[in-house]
Amino acid sequence: MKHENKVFFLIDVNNMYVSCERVFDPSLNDKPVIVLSNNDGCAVARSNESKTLGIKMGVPLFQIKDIVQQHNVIVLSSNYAMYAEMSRRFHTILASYVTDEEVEPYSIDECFVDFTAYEKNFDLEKVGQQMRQQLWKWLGLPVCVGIGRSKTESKIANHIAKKNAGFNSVCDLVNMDPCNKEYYFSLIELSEVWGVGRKHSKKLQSMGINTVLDLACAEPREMQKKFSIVMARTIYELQGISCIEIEHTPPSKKQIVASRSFGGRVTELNDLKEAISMYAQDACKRLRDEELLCGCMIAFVQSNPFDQNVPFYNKSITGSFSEPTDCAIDFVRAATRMVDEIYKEGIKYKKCGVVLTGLEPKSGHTYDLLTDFVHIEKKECLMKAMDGIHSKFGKKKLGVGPCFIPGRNWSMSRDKLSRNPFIWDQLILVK
Amino acid sequence: MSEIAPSIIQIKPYLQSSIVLSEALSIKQVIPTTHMLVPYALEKISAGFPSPAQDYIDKALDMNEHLIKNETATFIVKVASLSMLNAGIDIDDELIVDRSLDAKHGDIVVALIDNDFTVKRLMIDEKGQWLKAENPDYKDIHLLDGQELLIWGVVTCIIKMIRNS
Repeated sequence: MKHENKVFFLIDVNNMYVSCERVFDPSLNDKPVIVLSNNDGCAVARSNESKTLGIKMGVPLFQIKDIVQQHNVIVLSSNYAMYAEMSRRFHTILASYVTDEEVEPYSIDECFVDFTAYEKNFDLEKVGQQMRQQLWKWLGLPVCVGIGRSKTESKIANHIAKKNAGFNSVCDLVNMDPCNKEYYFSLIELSEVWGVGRKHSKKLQSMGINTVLDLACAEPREMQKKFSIVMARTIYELQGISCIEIEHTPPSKKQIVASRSFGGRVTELNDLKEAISMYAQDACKRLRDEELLCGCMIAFVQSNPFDQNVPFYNKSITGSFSEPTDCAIDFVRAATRMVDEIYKEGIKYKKCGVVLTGLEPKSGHTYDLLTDFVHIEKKECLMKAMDGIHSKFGKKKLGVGPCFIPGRNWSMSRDKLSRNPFIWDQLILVK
Repeated sequence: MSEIAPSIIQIKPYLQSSIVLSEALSIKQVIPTTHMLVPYALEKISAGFPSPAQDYIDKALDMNEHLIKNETATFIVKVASLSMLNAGIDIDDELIVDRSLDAKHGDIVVALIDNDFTVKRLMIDEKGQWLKAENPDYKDIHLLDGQELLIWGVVTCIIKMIRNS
């Protein structure tokens, strides 16, 4: 499990959502920009200019209205379809540097690359610069590259590259002079370390461990007794001993969550039922894409947690299916019935959703003796027909209930949505 | 199953009476995975005895493969001016742009000037880089002091629909 001579790259897009928007709308360059979460609630991405203005990650828009007005901050809705396509291209380019087993798309804007096999033949920093330049030229995305002997170290290296302009966006800890490395480690706070949460940070600080350097110098076996094996691994990783491998096959899903907040406040039971029937169908689509069956479903409704005038209402209910299913009609029927149970009059609802759990691969499911196969077969035929219609004509053409008709009371609001340049009728215009 | 049918019937008049279905218009994402393959003949069919079909259908024409050399770096943009008319680029034509290519003298490029998109012919001479319009009614773009020319991508292909459906 432990290796001392591995080489990991972590490539991370700077301010991903804002950078994507800038590729297709260059007028956003050099200006303070923020991208909002669904329903234009909170700032989920900030350009450097916005960060300088003191706009914090995740802050609700209404709390920063003054800053936004005073400094003409450009506010955008999140265009996830566009970000997803840019992310796909980002990961595809990085995957071309190594074999499929050596690359791990870690998140929409982060990618690990295991470069161990090629270390001898390449100047690591040059490879990092090449990746950076290629991503900039091909996609217009600015990135930072961190290189280390472990994934944790490559994360730290990436952080160093981000915070210190002198590195020209690429930091190679593998070939860095140990004295310099200690210096940089001593500057970085514990909370920046991958896998060390805020809770652990506090406990570590009470033990006199304040910086990454302090943690790297700790004795892993001692720390394992006081914390857990995870902490010991983190320390080994900081010492340049790799304990966490590249995960190239994403672990199969444990649950599927489909929920969104409403554009306006929703008070009527019927509106809630419509909304939840749509999320149930979204969840069903993802379940079917993964070829899973679902045995258990949770439905929940919430009022606005930021509204200080009324108490926060948050209720959920769990139900299980007599037979695991992947049929949209079962999910919609169950979800609407569950909403009946948890609905309370007089509440201004802000959000609802479903969680599918008890998932198992469809191919591995054993049906019991009393299963009505004719019924299951019928449902499968219906779902196949629906899937076919969705892939051919778009997922809003056919659904259970009226939820896909535009302009419902609860529809999401995305007032400042940019164009999606990957759709025929929204291409970029050039003069 | 049987419980659903009646509700669909109820929804139908409701659908017809309400709201324009603007969001339901079909939209297609530009991910060049090919769906349509056009088979083409390897041999000419000579009069007399045609060869059996499987002998002359060898490979299918793949438009994506033909038009797009580097899928990851390719973007499609739409033209909104007549400035390149004499190069055959008209309003509403779609351009295939490959960002991975290095722009050479004479290439048609999508460029950024003062953070605005423009499509022009890139000229590189002793004066440096400038952008040539292919229409006498439009001015060439020579950089003013402090102005910067950024090449966004190189145009490799024009998609021109000549029959409005």
